[in-house]
Amino acid sequence: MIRYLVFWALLGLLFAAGWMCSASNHGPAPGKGFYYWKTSLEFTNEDWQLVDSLGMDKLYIRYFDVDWSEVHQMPVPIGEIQLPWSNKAGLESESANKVGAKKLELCPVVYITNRVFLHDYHPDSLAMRISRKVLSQTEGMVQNQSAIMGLSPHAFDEIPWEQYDSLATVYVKQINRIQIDCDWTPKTKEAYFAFLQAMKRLHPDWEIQCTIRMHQYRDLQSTGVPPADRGVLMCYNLAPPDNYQTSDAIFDEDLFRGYFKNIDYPLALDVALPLFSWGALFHEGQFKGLARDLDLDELKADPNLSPLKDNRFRFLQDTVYTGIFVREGDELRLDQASPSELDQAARLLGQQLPGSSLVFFDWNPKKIKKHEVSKLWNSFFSGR
Amino acid sequence: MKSASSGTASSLAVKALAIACLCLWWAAQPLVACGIYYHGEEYRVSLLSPWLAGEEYAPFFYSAYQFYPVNAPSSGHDRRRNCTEWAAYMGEQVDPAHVQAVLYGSSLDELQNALSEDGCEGAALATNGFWKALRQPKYEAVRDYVLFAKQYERYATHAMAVDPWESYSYDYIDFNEPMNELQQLAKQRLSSAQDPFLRQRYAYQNLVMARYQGDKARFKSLWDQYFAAEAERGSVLYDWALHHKAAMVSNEAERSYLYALSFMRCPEKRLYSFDQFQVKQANRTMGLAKTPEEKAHILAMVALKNPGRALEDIRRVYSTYPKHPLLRLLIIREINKVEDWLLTTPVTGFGPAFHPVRELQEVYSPDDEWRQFRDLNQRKDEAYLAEIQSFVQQTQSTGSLPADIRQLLLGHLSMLRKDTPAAQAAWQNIPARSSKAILTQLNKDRLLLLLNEKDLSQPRIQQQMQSLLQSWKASLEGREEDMRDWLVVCKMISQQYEQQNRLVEAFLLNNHALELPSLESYSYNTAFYTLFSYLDWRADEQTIDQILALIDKPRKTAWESFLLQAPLPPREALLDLRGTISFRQGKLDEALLAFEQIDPSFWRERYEYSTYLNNDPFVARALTRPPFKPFPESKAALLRQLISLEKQLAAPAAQAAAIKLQLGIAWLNFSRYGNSWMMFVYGQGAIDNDPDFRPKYLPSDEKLRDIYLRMTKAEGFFEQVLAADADVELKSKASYLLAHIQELRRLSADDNPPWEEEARKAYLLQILQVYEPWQKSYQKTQTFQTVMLSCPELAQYFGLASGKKE
Repeated sequence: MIRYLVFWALLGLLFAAGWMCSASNHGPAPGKGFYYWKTSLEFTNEDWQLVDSLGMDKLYIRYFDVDWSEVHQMPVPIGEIQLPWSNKAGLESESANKVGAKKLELCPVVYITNRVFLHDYHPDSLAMRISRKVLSQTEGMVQNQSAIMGLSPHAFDEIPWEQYDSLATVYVKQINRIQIDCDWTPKTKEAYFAFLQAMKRLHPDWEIQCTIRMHQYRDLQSTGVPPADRGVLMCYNLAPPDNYQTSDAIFDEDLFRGYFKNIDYPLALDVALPLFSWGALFHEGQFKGLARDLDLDELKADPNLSPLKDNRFRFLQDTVYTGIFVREGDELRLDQASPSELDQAARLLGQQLPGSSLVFFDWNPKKIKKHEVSKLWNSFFSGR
Repeated sequence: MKSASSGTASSLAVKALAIACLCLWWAAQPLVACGIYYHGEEYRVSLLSPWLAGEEYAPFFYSAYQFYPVNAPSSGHDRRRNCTEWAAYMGEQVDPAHVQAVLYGSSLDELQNALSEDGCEGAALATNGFWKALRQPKYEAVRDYVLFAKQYERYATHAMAVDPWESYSYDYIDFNEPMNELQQLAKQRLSSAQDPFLRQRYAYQNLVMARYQGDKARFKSLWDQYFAAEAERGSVLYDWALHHKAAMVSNEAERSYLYALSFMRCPEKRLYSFDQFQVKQANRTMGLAKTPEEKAHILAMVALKNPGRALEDIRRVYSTYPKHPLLRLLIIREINKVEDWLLTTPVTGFGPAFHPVRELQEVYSPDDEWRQFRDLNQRKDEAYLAEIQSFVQQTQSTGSLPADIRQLLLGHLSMLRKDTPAAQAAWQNIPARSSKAILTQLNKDRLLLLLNEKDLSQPRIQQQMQSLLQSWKASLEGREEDMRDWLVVCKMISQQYEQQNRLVEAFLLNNHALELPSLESYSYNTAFYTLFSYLDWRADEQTIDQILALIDKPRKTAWESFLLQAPLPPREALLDLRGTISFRQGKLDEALLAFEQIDPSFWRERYEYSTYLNNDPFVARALTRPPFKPFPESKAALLRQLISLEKQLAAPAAQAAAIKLQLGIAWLNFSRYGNSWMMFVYGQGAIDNDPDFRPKYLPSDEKLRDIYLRMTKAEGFFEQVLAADADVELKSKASYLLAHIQELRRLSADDNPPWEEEARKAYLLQILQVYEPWQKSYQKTQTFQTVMLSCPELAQYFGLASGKKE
């Protein structure tokens, strides 16, 4: 009997939560979020403590990518996020439970390569396949009793098996939004927008979000405004990383400010700022590749490197660096937004786009602590 | 200003037109239209054919990184082993090829249909000895196993084959009823199998199922019971099981150890094993190796995954196990690396030929500094070649490499080090009966050795080159990369001829290599211009004459005939280029001589750029009311007019001033901004004025750049008109056109004009100041009124918004 009471109580709470979520669809409160872009969904106890201390309320999880397959002659899912069978780490912790009870607002993100839309594939079919995959992945998280879903570690222990499906379905239905990430171009605009409309037709109750690159934001006349409910303006990757002339490919304050002139974008926007970094490697000005996740202090301490002007370093000997053979004299340009640049950008964005949420790309506890993300959120919201 | 709607707008329109033209021409580039581009690391020159290492290693050639097709040449190797084991088990009557046709060439449906009473066997099965044997009652258990294995194969691959959006692997196996039944059946059959051969195979199927279920305990139990003691038997099943075991161990070092073993034992699984092997675990992995051979396997994997200098790794492989089968591949990879480092950029232009903008050069890396590093690295690479050669020499004592391969490598390394006697000495020991691959490489190396000769014009050398190039080309077997090697060598010989100032041979050999991807071929090109672009800005009139004479030569040598087999431009195009070369230098009579040899219909009907030469070059549109005349009938006709005008310059000053004005207008129109710019160059683009990007269709000579980009020749004529005692209207026109030149220079010098409306207005107003001296001196002239009517922007600037003079 107790088990039945627990079940109905849980179900009732979930319906209430679902109603609240759907009621808030038309004007979500500005929030604090992160992208989760790793290939495996694993939150440790430390991660949960950080979630708790940050007071964040949104998590955008990359579920999978979609690319065109020449073999299948259709778009196919790739790089699906892995759900470890045992994801109990941290679940017993106070932090996880605290956050879990409050629940993060989850948004599945699907990255679609632009070339998918260069091919003739029916938008309704693609929308159907993607949404089924998203629901299936979400169900996997529920089965996994993931704290990400707001489930406590033993949520299903007391539930009779014949009622498990109903409860799981309710959890899955908490997902009422999806974000599509695609660097569309004027050439693919029509097909991409048709796909977004198909997704909305398929899920009229979902909030359809999409990412907006800065060039799409600036050149809205040629690239068009996507038919979505909401957009996330990606305030990074502002310049080509393979160009030696680029001063910082991820974030350049001058370029960033240049994008914000006299633009009245006709779509509700949230904004995303970068916490990531990379090193662009050059041999006599020619691009050789990217070294991921570098840290300025580590570069300064590297005996193989000698600092040049600005954010550039020179290799002092031939070496294999992050899998790339670099020669003596080759250069590394560290691309990243500095803490002060991020602070300035957060202030500017807070003023320019009141009512928006500020999301960071992507979840990386080390970088989060280094950049004092809470202060950035304060700057963002205080400017309003 | 030269257009009816001139003024600032027209200047900007020039820029817009330039951009549009560039887009148009880029779109028309036939060489790169397919979208195959190579950048830096994706393209590597290799003079030593990596195929000498063995076809089965093709995915691991250094030059295969992105470039060689990775089509798994080892495909089928392991399965053939399996078929051989099956044939041995079945007895002498069964051919391994028949086993292969059943196990890997037939579907489950085909086998089941063929077994049913009313089923009919396809022709292949009807005559298949293995299948016939399986149909006999005594082989019923064997047949059951084959059908079981085919069933599992079908279930395991079903989901992926049907729809890539559906879940498979864990979920599929766990929740699919037929698969569950098959798993139960596998367990039953394993426990009941009497025949050791079949029992081992059922054990293997159970093992694979356990792997894909993630059932580590069962996997370990099966491994311990059925495979652990099988290491010495050399069965393919053991090697495959070992590969699966690697995926099931949690210790990273052990996993890498097992993948190193799998790499050596299962060629069909090499790409996966290579990918999974962790170099950072190498030291711990070495601790797990049981024999020197296994240690060498691990060291060889470390060397194979090293994108930099790996000779130290290779030495360790050699000292640990001198007969290691990967040594040949590793040494060839190492030589290919140095070839790439030393040659890719000079031959193709990809790489350090790139020049960034000057500001950054000043701030970060002056070109001189880069050159120092380039020289330093080149010296290091050359020293490294010597180290490799010393190592190859050292292997003689252990016989690690076959003698002919070793001698070939030694000779090749000597050739790269430009040591001709040593190369020839090494090659002397290569027997004539060596493999075709070795003899082909030997021919190629002998050809390359000729490049060390000081005078390539000697008939003896030319004859050898022709013979070697043609025999090599004839021996190519259709592999795209082999053909590219041939193109690379043609390009290298072309470069050598150019160094020796023999442009005719250099041009023709360059055209032999036109299909070689290079930075040059990626810049502005059309099919027409490509055929003679090498000569543009390199050749003089005499070079063109020599080429034409060679084409016309009645009895050509074999070398000359070979050279002329290259794709060649039409004779008229060569004459057009010859005339253009003279024209650029102001040698109008000589230009006329060349142009006169061309039928006028050529420019109208076969000249690719006819659409760009259709306006009267003697007209400045802002000064003239329409209708405007077209371009003369031919370039020759235009030249006659120019020559006639120049002859009249000796006339009295007033008359001469009018002629100078006409000539000035013509040279303005022959400039970058004129309507007949194609008289001077063969291309135009938006970056023409950027000093850091010099497209190959533009001159590098500063004097010619002044004439074309800075309009100095036109400017000189206009200044002479102003200085002359001439009619005021003539002077007004000259003054206006001088201001126009100033405006064009200002606009073209500015990379980044403001785009915000207010700032842009202010910017344009500032530029229009250049017309103020003209306005002050000549506002009463008819010329001024004409310009005001045709140029509303300028009229507005001078407060004459209606375009009417106050």
